[in-house]
Formats: sequence, structure tokens, C-alpha cells
Amino acid sequence: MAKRRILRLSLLLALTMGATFAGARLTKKLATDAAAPSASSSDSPRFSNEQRQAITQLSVRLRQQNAAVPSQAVPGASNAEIITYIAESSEDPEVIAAALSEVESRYSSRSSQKPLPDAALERVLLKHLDAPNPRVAHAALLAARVALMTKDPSDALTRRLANAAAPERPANRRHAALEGLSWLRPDRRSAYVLSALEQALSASEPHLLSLSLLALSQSAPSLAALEPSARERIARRVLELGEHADPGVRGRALLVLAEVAELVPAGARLSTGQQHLLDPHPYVRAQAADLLLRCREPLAIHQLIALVPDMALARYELGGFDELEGQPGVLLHSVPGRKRVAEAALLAILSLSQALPGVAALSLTLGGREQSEAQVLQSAEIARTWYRAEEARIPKQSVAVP
Amino acid sequence: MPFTMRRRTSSECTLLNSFSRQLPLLVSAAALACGDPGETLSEGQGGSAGASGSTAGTSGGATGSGGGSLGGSSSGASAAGGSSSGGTNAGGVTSSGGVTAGGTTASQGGTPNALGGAAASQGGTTTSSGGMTSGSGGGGNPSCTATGFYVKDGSLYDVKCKEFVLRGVNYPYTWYATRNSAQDLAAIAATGANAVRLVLSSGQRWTKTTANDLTSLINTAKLNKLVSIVEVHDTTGYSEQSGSVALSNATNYWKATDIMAALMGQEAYVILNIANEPNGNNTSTDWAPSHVAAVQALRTAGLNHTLMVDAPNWGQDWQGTMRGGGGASIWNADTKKNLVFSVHMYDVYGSSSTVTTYFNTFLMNYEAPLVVGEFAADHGTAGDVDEATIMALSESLGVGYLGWSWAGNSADLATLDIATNFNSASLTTWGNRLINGENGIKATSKPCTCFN
Repeated sequence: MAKRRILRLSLLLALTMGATFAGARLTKKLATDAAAPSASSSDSPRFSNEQRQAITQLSVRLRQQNAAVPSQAVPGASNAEIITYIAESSEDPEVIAAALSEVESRYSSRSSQKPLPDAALERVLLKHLDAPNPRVAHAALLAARVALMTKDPSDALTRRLANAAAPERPANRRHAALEGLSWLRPDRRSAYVLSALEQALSASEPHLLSLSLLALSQSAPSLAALEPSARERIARRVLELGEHADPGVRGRALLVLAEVAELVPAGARLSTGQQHLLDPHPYVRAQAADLLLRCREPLAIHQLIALVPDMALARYELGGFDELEGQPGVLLHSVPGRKRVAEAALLAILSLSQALPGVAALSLTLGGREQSEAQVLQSAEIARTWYRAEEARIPKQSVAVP
Repeated sequence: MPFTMRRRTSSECTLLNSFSRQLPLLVSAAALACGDPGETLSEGQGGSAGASGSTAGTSGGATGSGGGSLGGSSSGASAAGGSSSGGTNAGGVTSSGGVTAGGTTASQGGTPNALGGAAASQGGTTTSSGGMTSGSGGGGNPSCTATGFYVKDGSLYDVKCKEFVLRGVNYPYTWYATRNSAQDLAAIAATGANAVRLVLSSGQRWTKTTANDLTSLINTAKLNKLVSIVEVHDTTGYSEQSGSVALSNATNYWKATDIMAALMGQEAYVILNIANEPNGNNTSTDWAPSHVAAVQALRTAGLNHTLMVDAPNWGQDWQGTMRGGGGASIWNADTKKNLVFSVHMYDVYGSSSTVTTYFNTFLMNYEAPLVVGEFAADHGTAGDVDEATIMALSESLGVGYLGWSWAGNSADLATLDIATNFNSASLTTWGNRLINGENGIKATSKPCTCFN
């Protein structure tokens, strides 16, 4: 350990001693260079030759420490430009990946405490997103998150990801691109982004379908701005995917209907939810209960009550695909906050009951910490008792409540 | 993220720093190797020299930010003008004056990409009036007239008109009131935290936190340069949890004459979290109306502090009420527009996509800032929490976070303890992750300039 420290210290000293010959001259030149605009993407004039030499040595150190140091935070908001420059200028995939992995901690999507993603970062990300080396491409994708989550994400970057999601691209690249597009703010998904997501709805791979549906479920404001014909196409396809063989795809189709209220007519939304309460997979049943909660139709209580003793875990893992770097991928499907089907049904009933005039309040003990099966069954009994008393007052016809 | 640089040992840093005073380029290396957020390559730290006209300071004296160094130049160029603290930065490591970082950044202030510059220039024109009613120094930003924390453009700013991002832990004072809280708060501060959320009681469920207790806690926190977020816990999970009380009880606690007296004048150091998780699932529809009433009552009483509002559904907002814009009426009810919303992220946030969606949707819908007021790496056996995404996105989006909790959780939630038996020398797995891990407190916390 001590030897390693000495080696590192020596490297640091070598780095700095070597470049210090330039001394104060560098100080002045740096200010000039840093202020100058870039001439081109491949030849940044911001740094002097001496500085580039120092950066090269810094890159060597990055590479060495990458191999030596376990994953841990690198302190602070600093030196974004250096990291970006190294990621752009290095030809060593390990150094590029290491530098890219630093990007997210060097920039901020919106805080004044760090620089916003800028043109230099965009250039670097565009350069590496399609890199043949999967490690570099993956690091570039992760680095892109900070740029994609800004209020005004780069159009070039977004288009690149949309193109990478195209059907002719390898499945693992499409998967990565869809993940990247899902980081855009819900109201910042342009028509071409939605088009890319729509194209992915025709994929043969369930994981691509699931991921695309997830992204669409988060796109309500952008979908609202889409031209009606495109929106109708997407709506039709989402309803079709509600019948897909894979439960992850079926559940995520219901998720889209739950989150994007205006995508299909209210009647179709409600009947889809009701129909899937009988789905063979518990995750889909729980997702259907959530859809009915969002439909705000108290009449659904009459169906939901049948699910309150359903103790099946509302969880599904979709595997059978490889991620960008080749490792097996798994997409977890669950209904946040509701571990069992019964909890999804109970909370939907609770929520719908709260808006019913003239009906006694239902009060459950669900929430907070994890509920044991006995506690859930206790709540189920409370709900059934309440339902028996109030059944006649719960509408059987459509009466949307706020 | 597989890569990181190892922090230097203190002896290595001492050696590097001694060289750095003579060799400008070594500054960046020393900062890279030894620095914390305030130290590394001093991005933007000297920027306010240009804005304020002050000279760069020399506090801390560990290294210079090295305008002539790699880091000083590049970061200065991108973030110049950002700092309003001028030469008095709190990083503990500052430049050797305008010759290096100060001079470089000053000459480049106003770079379009420098959000910080915008923040500094906006200091005097913030829309939040809570802390902006009369003038105060502003610490190098002459236009800063804040008198406490305030909100602008979805971010929290301190009395010096510098953006402040909460990085801290929850401290269970009310259940461990007999402990030496001064010692505990000092230990929390030693982790690098810049804030502590203090669990208090209005007296309905636990022993009431008195005005004297409150004053003592706030003062101790201030001594340790910790911003206090004070909250009443008796409301937790109303009405599902036995004994929990309605939000109005917390409002009445804050409005009591003696408690008000303890809080008044502390607007620069205290954030008032009205009540902990005051709406379970049964009462989630009452979340907005009850908080509108609470905010109006507190403002009418004369409390001008930044208010923090916990999300419904036990703080987890699994129904999306808060994230979807349901808190707009609460925001609109605040005459000071000095309010932040707080979500508690536990097992509902077990996947990256859930966390990402939450942040994205909230930020799309609000002018108010978001804070993750509680979170951990798991919620006992209830399930995993994707703390890595929470911490990474909090950092990249400038969202505050406060880990739950320092120590003393019940056996079923023992994995949520940060320090084993309140011993900061014995961090738990979660504690180590929160404090020393990637995007953790040590790496990302910046001291509040209110203490400068």
C-alpha cells in the first residue's frame, strides 16, 4: 500500500514538475487560451502544448488509478473542461471511459454550483455515443444523462439517441438509446423522439417494447402536443400491446394508459383496466388496479374488491437480453409502493372511496412500513366489511370523480 | 461508475501543498488529489472577485486554486462570476489572490455557460421575499439583500445569495433528548454535512421539545456550521398510525409564543419543515388543503423562514400527487414564495426509472425547489431503495438530500442507522455509502456561506 502511495505521489510530482517549467507564462497563456473559442472539434486551441502534455500525463494517471482504485466519489465540482478535453482527445478507451465516468459529477443539469453541459461536452458525447468499444459507448451514455436532463437538452444529442434507437440498429444499442431518451424531461420529448419510441413499439424483443412503453408513460405533456394522427397510432399500438404474451409488456401498456390520461377514450381506458384485473400475472393485475385508481371511476370498486385477498407478489423480472457491455440484462417491473396485488387493490379502493359523497369513509392501516401478510389481510377484511355496508351507495354506472 | 481518484493522505497533501505554493501547476494536482468540493481546482470560487471587486481570499490556506493551473483556467472559464462569496470562500482552500484564480476568472466573468454568474447577478432580484426584506452584506455580492434563506428559479439560496444545496442527515433528537446532542451534532458536522434535520415533538406523542431545547439545538448546529431543518414528528402517518395527530397541531406548535421567539431571527440558519409526513394514505386528499392552511397560518403569525412541506402518502408520494403539480395551491398560498417541497424516498423508489421520473416530473411542474428529506439504501425488509440514482441525480440537478438517520432506529429498520450506536467512528454500510460513497456527503457537500 505504502509503495503504491509513493508511486502515485511520484506520478503527481512528475506531472507537475514537468509542466512547471512553463511557470508563470502558462498562467497568462491559460487565461488567453481558455477564453478563445474552439477552432474545431478535433483541435481545441484552449490549451498550450505544455498544458496538453500535462493533460496527457494526467490521463495516464487517470488510467492507472482507474485500475487501482475502487469506485468511490471524486470530490467536487471542478475541472469539467479538463475531463471533457481528456475524453475528447484521448485515444485510449480506458482513459476515455474513465474521463466520461467523471462527467456527471463535474457538470450540473441545473444547479449554479457547477457548469451546465456545454458545447464541448456535447461534442464529446456525440463522438463517443456510437463508439465501437461498448465500454466507451456505455460510459458516454451515462455521461449523457446530465445533458439530457437539462431544461433545454441538446437537439443534436437527442437526435443521435433517436437515431440509435432505430430498428436497424443492434438490440443492445437500441436498448441503451431508449434508456437515454427516457431521461429527457416529460415535456422535452420532441416529435422525433416520440417517433423513435413509437418505432420501438414494433420491436420483436419484449425488453425493447417494455422500455419504450416506460418512456412513453413518462411523456404525457409531449404526447399531448403531438399531432392527433400520430397520437392515435401510438394509442392503438399501446392497446394492442396490452395483449402481448409477455407480462412486462402488458403491464407497461397499462402503465402508459394510467399515466397518459388522454391517450385513449375514458371508456377504453376503464374497460382495459377492468379486463386486466383477471390477468394471469400478478404484476399485471396490480398494474390494472393502479390504472383503475387513475381512472377515477368509483364503479371499479365493485371489481377491485375481489382482489383484496390476492397475496401474490406484484413483481416481474424480464430477462433474456444483453446490455451494451454484454452482460445479461434484467428489467424489473413492479408497482411502486404496492408489494402485493392486494395492496394495489386496497389502495385503489381507498383512493376511489375518498371522493364518494354520501359514503362512509374507508380507513385502512396500510402505509408507512412494510405490511405483513396478516396486516394486509386485516385491511382486506376492513375493506370487505366497508364494502358490504356501502355497496348500494357505490355507483354502478360511470361517474368520474376528481 | 467504476472509476475514481483516491484522495490523498494528509501527509501527501501536506507535501503537495508545500510545493504548490511555489509551483503553480502543482496546485491543480494537489487540489485534484486532496480536495473536497471546496478545494478541487476551485471552480468558480474566485469568480466573484470579478463580480464583487473583492480580492480573492486566503482562508484555509491549504492550496491555491491556481489560475495558472489546468483546473483553475478551465473551471474558471466556465464558471467565472459564479461565486458571490468572493475572496472569502469557505472551501478551506483558496487562491493566492487575483494573480491566479481571482485574476483569471475575473477577467472571464460572465461566460455564457456560467450559471453561477447568473445566480450572483440575480441575488438582489429574487422573487422570494421571505429572506429578502432588508439589506445585508451579501459577502462579496453588494447587490445581495437577503436576510435569510430564499427561493429562486427552483433553487434555494442562502443569506449571502449563494445557492445552497442541502447535504446532511436526520437526527432523532426527540427520542434521544437525554443524549449529548452537542457531541452528536459535532460528529455529524465532521462528516462534512452542511445541514441536519432535527426530529422534534409538539408534545402529543412524545415529550415536547421546549423553546429552550430548540434554541440550544439551533445554536449548537450553528456552532458546527450546520443549517437546521426543524420538524414536528408527531404528525407522522396521520391518520393510519396510532397516536399520530393532524397537521394543525404542528402549526400550533410553531405559532406558540415561546417557540416563535426561538425561531425569529434565525431565518438565515433555520428551515422550518412544518410537519413530518402528516398525511398517510387515508388523508392524502387533504394534503394540499391542510398545508395551504398551515402556510397561511405561519405567515400570518410572522414566520418568514423558508418552509418545507412533506409529500403525502407517508412522504413517499406514490400516487404522484405532489410531483404532478398538486402542491401548486400550497406554493400559491405562500405570500413569501419561500417554500420547498420534500419527498421521502424509500421502497417506492427502488428503481432508477422511478427516481428519474420523479425528479423530472417535479422539476417540470414547480417553481419551488425539491429536497429528498429522507432516504436510505433500503427500507428494512420492505425493499431496496435506489440510493445511487437518488444521490447521483440530486447532485447533477442541485437537489438537496438528507439521509435517514443518524442512529437509534428500531430493530426492524436498523439498516437505516448511519452511525452504529451514535458512534461516528463506526459507520454502518448505509452510513459509509451516504457519507463516503459516490455522490455522498463528503464529496458533494458545500458549507453554507451563511456562516462566513
